Amino acid sequence: MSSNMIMLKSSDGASFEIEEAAARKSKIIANMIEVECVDEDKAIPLQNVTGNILALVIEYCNKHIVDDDDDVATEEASEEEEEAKKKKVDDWEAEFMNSMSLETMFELLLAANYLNIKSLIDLVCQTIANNIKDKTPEEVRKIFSIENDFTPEEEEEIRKENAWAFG
Amino acid sequence: MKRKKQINLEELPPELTSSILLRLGAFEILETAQKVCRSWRRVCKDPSMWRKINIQIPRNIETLKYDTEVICRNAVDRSQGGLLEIDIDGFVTGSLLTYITDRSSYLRSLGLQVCYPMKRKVLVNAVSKLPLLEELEVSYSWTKLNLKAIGYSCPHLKTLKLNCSSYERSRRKFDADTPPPAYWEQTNKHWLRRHS
Repeated sequence: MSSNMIMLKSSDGASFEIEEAAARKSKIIANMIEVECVDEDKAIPLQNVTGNILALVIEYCNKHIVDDDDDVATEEASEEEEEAKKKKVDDWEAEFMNSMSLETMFELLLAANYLNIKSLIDLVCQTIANNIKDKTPEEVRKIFSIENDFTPEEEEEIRKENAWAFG
Repeated sequence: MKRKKQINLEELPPELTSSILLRLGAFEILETAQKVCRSWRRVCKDPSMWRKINIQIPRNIETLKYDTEVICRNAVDRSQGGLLEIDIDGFVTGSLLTYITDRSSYLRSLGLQVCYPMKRKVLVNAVSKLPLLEELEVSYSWTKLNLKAIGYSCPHLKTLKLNCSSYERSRRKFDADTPPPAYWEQTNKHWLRRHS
């Protein structure tokens, strides 16, 4: 199967070439392709995504397009093979997320949301959620630089609400 | 040097914030997330955050002071009747089970641990209020379950997982009315066909 290449242009003017099959991971781009508003010679402008984030999105899409193809080709694959393949993807995703700062994660999440790539939204949300687990509210505020904006009355309300803790 | 504009977790659109917080367990939402800031608190109050409840209290000396029952009730209240799935890692009393099932008629999946002195009838009565129940997972010990009655009360039950303690396993002789011990899973339809 020959694959068409399409061009994407980031908000800061960087151009990227990507296989159509990979670009279709984005519902927004897939829709553009469906309604044929993609001109082969022209790059699709993505106003809300900067070049460094778009590069990450493309890396993710490229990685996952291969996996989708495999699914079709090896329908008969044994459970073990399936598991091994899943582990490989999980490892890649863990490594991928591990390599970026929290701030990059938020930008990636916004980009995935804008481009409507559900699996990437899930991956980033899960990674951020893992950073919240087993933390106190103070620790979470510190990690994510969130300001405590509760009024004294609300603080009091929160304290009172704690009926599930003994003593 | 000009500082790059920082994107903050606080400034994410609410649907993304809830998508993140939905991945936490009920205990983490109540004890951590909703106490972080106002926008998170607002998200955590929304009933849509409480369609699937997973209650797992980390087991350490610090958390011994938490009352699972009060946490469960609070979580169920927040769902405002829209609860679809609940999984409780901990022993559930008859009164808590009744509290949940009285308020959650749309429940499709229920996972819990029961132990003596919950009466057999309590579980059957509770699940009979859940006409849409598709999945039931019960860990139990020191008590016997009336599976036939459970099967008949939940016509949509597709999966029944039972996990019984070694005590039960060693003393029980199986017959048509008792399921195989250990870990057992099969569709209700098959089970009823064989046993009715």
